[in-house]
Amino acid sequence: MSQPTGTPNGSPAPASPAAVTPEPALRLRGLTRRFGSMVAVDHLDLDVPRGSFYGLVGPNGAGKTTTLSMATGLLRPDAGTAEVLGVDVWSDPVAAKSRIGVLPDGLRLFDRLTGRQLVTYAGLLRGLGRDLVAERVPELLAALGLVEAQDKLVIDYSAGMTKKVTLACALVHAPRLLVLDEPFEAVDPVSARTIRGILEGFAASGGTVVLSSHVMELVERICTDVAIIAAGTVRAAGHLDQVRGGGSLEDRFLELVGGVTAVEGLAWLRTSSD
Amino acid sequence: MVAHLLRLKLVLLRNGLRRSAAAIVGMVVGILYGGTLLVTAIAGLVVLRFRDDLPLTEAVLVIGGAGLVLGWALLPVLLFGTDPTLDPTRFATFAVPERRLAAGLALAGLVGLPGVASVLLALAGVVAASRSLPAVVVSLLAAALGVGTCVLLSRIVTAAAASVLSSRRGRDLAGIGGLALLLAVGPVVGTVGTGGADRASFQQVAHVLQWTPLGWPWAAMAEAAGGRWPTALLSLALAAGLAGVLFVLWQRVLVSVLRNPRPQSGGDGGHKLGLGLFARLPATPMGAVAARAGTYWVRDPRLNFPGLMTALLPAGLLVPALASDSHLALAGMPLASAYLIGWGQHNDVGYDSTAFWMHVSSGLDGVSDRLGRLFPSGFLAVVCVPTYAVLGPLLGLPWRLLPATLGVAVTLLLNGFAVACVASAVKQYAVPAPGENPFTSRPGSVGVTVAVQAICGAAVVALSLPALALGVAAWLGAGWAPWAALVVGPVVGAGALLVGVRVGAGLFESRQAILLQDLVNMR
Repeated sequence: MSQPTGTPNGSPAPASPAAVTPEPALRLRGLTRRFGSMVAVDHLDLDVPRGSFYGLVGPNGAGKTTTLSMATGLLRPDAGTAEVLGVDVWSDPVAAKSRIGVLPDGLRLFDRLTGRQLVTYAGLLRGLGRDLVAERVPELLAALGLVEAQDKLVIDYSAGMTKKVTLACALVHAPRLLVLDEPFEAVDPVSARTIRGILEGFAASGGTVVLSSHVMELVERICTDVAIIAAGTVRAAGHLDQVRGGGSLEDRFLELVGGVTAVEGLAWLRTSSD
Repeated sequence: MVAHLLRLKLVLLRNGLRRSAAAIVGMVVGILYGGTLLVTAIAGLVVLRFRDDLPLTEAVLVIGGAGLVLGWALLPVLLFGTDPTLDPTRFATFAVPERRLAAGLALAGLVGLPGVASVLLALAGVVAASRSLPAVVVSLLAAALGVGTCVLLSRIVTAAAASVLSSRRGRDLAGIGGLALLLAVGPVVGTVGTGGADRASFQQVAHVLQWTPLGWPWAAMAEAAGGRWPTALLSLALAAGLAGVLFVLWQRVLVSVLRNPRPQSGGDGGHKLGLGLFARLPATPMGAVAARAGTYWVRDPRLNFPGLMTALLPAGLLVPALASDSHLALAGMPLASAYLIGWGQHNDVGYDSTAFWMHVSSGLDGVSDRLGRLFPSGFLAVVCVPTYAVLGPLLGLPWRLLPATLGVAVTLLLNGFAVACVASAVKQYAVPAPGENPFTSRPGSVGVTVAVQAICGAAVVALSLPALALGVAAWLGAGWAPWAALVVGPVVGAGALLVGVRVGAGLFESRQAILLQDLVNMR
């Protein structure tokens, strides 16, 4: 993997003029994906520095899920490349995928397995041996507060428990990069705090987290870096303070993404009009 | 309301076709395939009108009509599944009067190829019975009642089957019921197969059938054609009563579904202690895939019911074998078992639904995925195929044919697995989603399903031709052929499986993201 010199356009250029700049944890170049005539992601460039806690924000349909799917090997791009720690996801998928843990949004799990079986399955699929799996699975389930439910079928889990067990599957092979699509959606505050704690621990120990969300406050609270995506391209990217300027992330977001519709009509919705 | 639902169904059908070219191709194949049969049947009925053979016309009307009703009742459960787009639970949140909803949903069941075909067949029946003006009037009413009976019956049966299968005990009962049904269908097939279908017995069957609920509407047609008005009107009244009762029953089922929408899970999930198969099989990726597949075969009604049927279906051949001493049926048991088990795996990835992403994101190697999936069906085959093979000689098949039946069975099984390894990495067709009624099929997808199944079946048979030829030689008496089949069959099968796994693994690795996208689009 040769390392192109110079910083390509749009990259956040972190202020680390160390001797050798390590490859970013995730490097996307010219990623493009069409669905029929609709361009979901349009020549998207993004660099996620190592050790960062990176938030991807954007309106519904902006292409966040499509981008993350292409970055993790779940969806083949029409054009462009995705590199994880210097390894191309689409030309050396096995090596790249061993470094990534994924939590996709809107995809099913093998939910006729029990929680413990599911995480074990994820570990064994990654080629971990029996001993390693037997050591890690109980630890993960305990850390995520799933011990009581470990022998229940995943199909009987609540939304928050399902997110947590998926996160356990994403973590079991000790990845270097975690890619999480809407990890906090439909999750109650208690579970959210648990998930957050684990992610912060992961990032603190040198791992990199990329997550998508449309809850600005949450991203502002936990992310070090942020990218605003709209209509399939990156509108702004970099350190959180850099992106939001003086104001709040939400203001900056609305400014970049565009107008809020003023509510007109709907008078009949007001119950007082009865 | 009724018009609304019909329009909804049409729009869903059109949009289903618009989503993929494969669905259109499939539908065209379906129309060509079913259309030929349909045109032949209609032509036959019209010809009957212009022949002077009234008793034959009557018998054909009654037996054909009863067969149509039986088909509507049983085929959705046994083979195809019903259309879930108008699943009653989806209407639970709308304030629609139940009676109108029941009528609309039942009528919407006619939109689609089977419905159109049935209406055309019933109208052809009217033509066949049109010996006088009153006969036309009575037959038209009878045709409407008959088609209505078909639709209502299929709705009720599928709803009932789904609720029975959602509990473990129900599933066991259904398995036993399925076996009993096969044993009951056997004698009919047996007598027809042994040339019992001469005219006298044909008409005798018709005379019995016309007084069963299956035959009432069609008996009204037949009797009207013959000009026997009292019995015609009596049959018509009985048919109307039946349709009325079925409608009330359907409405009851609908109401109970609407008021207690079925829970997503089986309900009797409870706690499953330990790791189950995951602890017993090797702790490798392949072992993990095998353990997962095996666990699913036990827990998922979409897999365990067909699995059970696959295991038991060949036993249906016992009946003609015993009733008419058919050696061919005995020799066919292990072959049918091996073919059904091997060929049956060609859509395995489809059953994963989008959970397949776990395989994609883990960088799993193709060989582990391909071979691991075959574990439960391989296990089933190891139990079933030798059992059926040995059962034949025990019941009278010459022992010298045993090597031949075993050899051909092994080749059919392994070739089936080989084809499945490749096919399930190329094109998957839609199957009920996890947790959905296992007796559903996707609208507009039946064509793709039939096409993939037919291509896979043809490939298995083509690969098995060498061993099959030797099997035929053995059947015809060549003394060397059974042993040759026992050698050639497994060798060809093993070679095919080796190539199949290699090719399938390569395709899996290069196409996994495309497959996943396909599965996402199927939701």
